[in-house]
Amino acid sequence: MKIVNQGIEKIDAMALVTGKPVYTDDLAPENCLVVKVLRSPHAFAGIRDIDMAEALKIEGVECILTYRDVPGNRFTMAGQSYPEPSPYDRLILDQMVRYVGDPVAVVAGITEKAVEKALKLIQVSYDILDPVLDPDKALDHKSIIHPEADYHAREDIGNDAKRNLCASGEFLSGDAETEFSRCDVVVDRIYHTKANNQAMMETHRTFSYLDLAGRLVLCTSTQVPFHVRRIAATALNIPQSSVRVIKPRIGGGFGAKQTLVSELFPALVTLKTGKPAKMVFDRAESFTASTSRHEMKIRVRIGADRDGHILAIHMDTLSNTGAYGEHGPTTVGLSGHKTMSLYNMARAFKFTYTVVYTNTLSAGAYRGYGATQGTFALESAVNELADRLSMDPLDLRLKNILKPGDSVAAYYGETIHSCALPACIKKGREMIGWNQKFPFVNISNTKVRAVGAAIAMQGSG
Amino acid sequence: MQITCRINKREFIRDIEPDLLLIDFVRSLGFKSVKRGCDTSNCGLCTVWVDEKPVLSCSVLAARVNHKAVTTLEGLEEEAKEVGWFLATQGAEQCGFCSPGLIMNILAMKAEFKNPTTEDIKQYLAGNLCRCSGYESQLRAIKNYFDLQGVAHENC
Repeated sequence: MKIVNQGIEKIDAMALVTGKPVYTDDLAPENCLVVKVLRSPHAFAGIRDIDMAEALKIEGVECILTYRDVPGNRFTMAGQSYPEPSPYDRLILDQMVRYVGDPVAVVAGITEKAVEKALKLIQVSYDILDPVLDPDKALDHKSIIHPEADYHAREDIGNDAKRNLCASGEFLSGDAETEFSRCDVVVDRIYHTKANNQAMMETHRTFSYLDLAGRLVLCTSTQVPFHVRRIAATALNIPQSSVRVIKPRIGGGFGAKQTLVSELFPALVTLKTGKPAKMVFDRAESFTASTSRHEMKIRVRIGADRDGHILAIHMDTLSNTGAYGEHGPTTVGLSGHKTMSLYNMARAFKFTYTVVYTNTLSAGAYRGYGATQGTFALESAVNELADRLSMDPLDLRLKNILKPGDSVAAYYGETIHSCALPACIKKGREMIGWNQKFPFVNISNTKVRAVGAAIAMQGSG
Repeated sequence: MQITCRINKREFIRDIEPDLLLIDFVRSLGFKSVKRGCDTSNCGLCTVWVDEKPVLSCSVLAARVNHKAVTTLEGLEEEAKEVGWFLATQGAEQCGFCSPGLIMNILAMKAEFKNPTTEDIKQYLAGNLCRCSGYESQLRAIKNYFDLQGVAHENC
């Protein structure tokens, strides 16, 4: 085997390890305007007035842009293909701010100091609204986060913005309730996963300029350059042929850069001024004003007969998409389909989901894309089921998992052509010394050391 | 204020603002290997040497290097290639953004330790964060670099 099982050095390896200037900020022209954003201190508010007279007096400030200066085309920043499942619920700058950190004004200037000084001098008066902070209370809350008339979804995602509902749906295979009534044991639990940050080492950053043909060039740290081109064209109301996107080497993404984050602010400045512009998020901004993993509350019902045959699984996911719907309608699907599919021997599956808006940081894409949350929930429930059945959790899984050739009911009836999961479980059992360590060994009078198991699948290629 | 310093053996005399940070000073002079990752003196990406000792350039004023010698990875190209080859063969330079700061500290460690143990390596590099690798591939690469196979493999 000349290629398989051989290590291959990446073509850019030596450039990276010798510190060559290959990342976005290394390539930015020295004369870029520095771009920063004034962010909302309120979770939910309408902007009554923005007074920037004092800020504009600062020497070196080039421009201050507000909701009055942006095109009125709503769009989504999620990097997704046609027809774009995430609702069109954003403007570059909006008169309504929907989370602490939502942009209020864009300031561009010659030096960072001038821009920072100007940011402090902008006076904004807000009409503060009652925020929706708890996803459990979001649906039909008296505060409507997206009341705007031009809000729209591009396809049927079970959306109703007037109810703070970003997306909803149901998947049924077999008759779950009848199967549950036949079960000897049913586990019914709710698992709550939080909004995490992707925390790539290189924060969000973009620089922009007009090329020799007057075309807007965006050089940006992104995972989705083609989507950036289309979305920037929509958001800025210019043809796609007027936008060129360059993606240099990026310093990590982990899904954070599967959504536009820093792109549109310098782009707007360059279009308004004709000058090169650059925005580099600081670390705090990357945590508070980008996108996170979707917080989810997942109720799992799973039932089996006394021999450990799983008969039915019902997962009900409540996903918090935050202030905007980036990747909201799509991540939630993986919480059910990528998890229940592993237990293909079950007779019935039910997956119901609700994705709600709240006045918190918008969620987005993050490694696993919803499967992570669902795996934690279902695998925890399977372990609890094993405990109730007094069965070894690995044996319970081996009895119920899918096998090659199966038509996978919870995965849209697709056929699984290869699956080495039983061999993986067997190997893992041996390697960790499961039979000696499960459920725990006593380490001292006050401590035990325990082992636990979970299985997962994810798409690739 | 005016400062005089040597960066990678070349002399620079520059007028600077008193609050200018060393990281922004060296980057403005074209030494772009120096990266900013955390803003809070935690990640090690901005590591440079001042008079041969590693420092976090995000937490040092440029004024402090007046009459001193600063070294960035650009000044250690051959050494960087050597260490880098070990990192690359283990896939430890995945996104590469943390590699320059890490290599600056590996080379500094090499100057201080002849045969670092696994614990020495872990302690010395505790301030060099990486989001891609999980550190295992880096540890393998560093051990290979120090040719410590069999000498220091406890706790790995």
